[in-house]
Amino acid sequence: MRKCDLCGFNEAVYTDHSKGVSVCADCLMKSVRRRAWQVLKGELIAGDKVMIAHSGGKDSSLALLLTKEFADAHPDMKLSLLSVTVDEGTFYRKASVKLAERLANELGVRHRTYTMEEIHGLSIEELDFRLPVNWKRSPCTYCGVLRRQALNAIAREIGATVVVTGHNLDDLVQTAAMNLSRGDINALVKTLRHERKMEEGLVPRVRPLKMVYEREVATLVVAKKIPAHLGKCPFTQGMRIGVRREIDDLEDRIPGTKVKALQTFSLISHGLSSDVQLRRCRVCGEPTTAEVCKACQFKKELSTFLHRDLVRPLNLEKVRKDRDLWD
Amino acid sequence: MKGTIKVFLVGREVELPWNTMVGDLYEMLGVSKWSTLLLVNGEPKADDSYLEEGDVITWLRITYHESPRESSGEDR
Repeated sequence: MRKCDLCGFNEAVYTDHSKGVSVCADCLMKSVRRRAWQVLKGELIAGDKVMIAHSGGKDSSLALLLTKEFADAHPDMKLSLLSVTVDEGTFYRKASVKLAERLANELGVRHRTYTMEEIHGLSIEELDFRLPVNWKRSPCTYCGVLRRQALNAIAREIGATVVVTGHNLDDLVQTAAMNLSRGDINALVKTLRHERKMEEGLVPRVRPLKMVYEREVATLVVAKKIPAHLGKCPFTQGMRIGVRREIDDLEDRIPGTKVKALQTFSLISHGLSSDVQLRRCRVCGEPTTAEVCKACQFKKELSTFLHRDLVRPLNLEKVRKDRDLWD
Repeated sequence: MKGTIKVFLVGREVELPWNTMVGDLYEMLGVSKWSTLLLVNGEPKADDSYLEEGDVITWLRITYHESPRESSGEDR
């Protein structure tokens, strides 16, 4: 049995090539917890109402677990937690919603599920069925924009002061690299710089796993048997695959590249200024950088295929009724 | 000393050198360890763990994830 290099006792489950050590699940958990708590300590403030965007997948499930542990270990901060899932209406999501509810229940965190259907008036499965073959955009493109907008609107309307997401180190490095390659400085700044102010209805986000490799997350979820959905979304298409491969190759050749890259991107972003001003969408009132937000532009496009007018403000009535859910 | 071991690699019985490590399998299978997690008898193992006779190796795709906001102008 290959024993852990740190405790010398348990079986090693993960090799950290940047440090040249293999560690057991307990030691890996300690290391991941330390990194996640460092982010939470720096970015949460006492009295925060923390909404965890919890899809039931591996990343958001670990983010919920670590945030709950952090809140329990810091009672003086008086943090309130709420786990929220947006159900896009795919058969894939059905399994993960159940696991999201199960984990939240096990941790004693309140959980709510809102459907894309009730908020935006369409489900991704319907959209996939109705989109013409070889259409210029994949369902993922619509899903990503609509889900992000829904999550922010839910957070705002439910009274959250901050949203915790499960984005990990790999996600952020890929995004930063894509922003750089496009020359999109504003996006780079917005992605990496943490700002606590609520700007035009945009609720601040905290990413506790931002210094944690996706591989570490997957290893922990399996080794620690954390209830989480490990399947692959059936609608996932070839976005960012090329960038991911290049970065993974670099990490293989020079272990630690991702950590150093994110640290460097973050430092660069702090020295830059973003000239994008957020305002409210003329149609739905949600935060946008344009006169009409991308979600409304997409919904206008989709109205043709779904044979009904989807362009309207989000339906957040059910969400508003849940404002008193906080502990 | 035994020269080879037999393991079940993604549903097939294969013979491998006795000193094959989990990390070697990624290259053999042509998969990246950043997108796939190999499980030995259902559990993750360190890349420098040696395989043993009769081990059952399966894999798990780990890369699906929604992306953080990707561009400043396009997605809001």
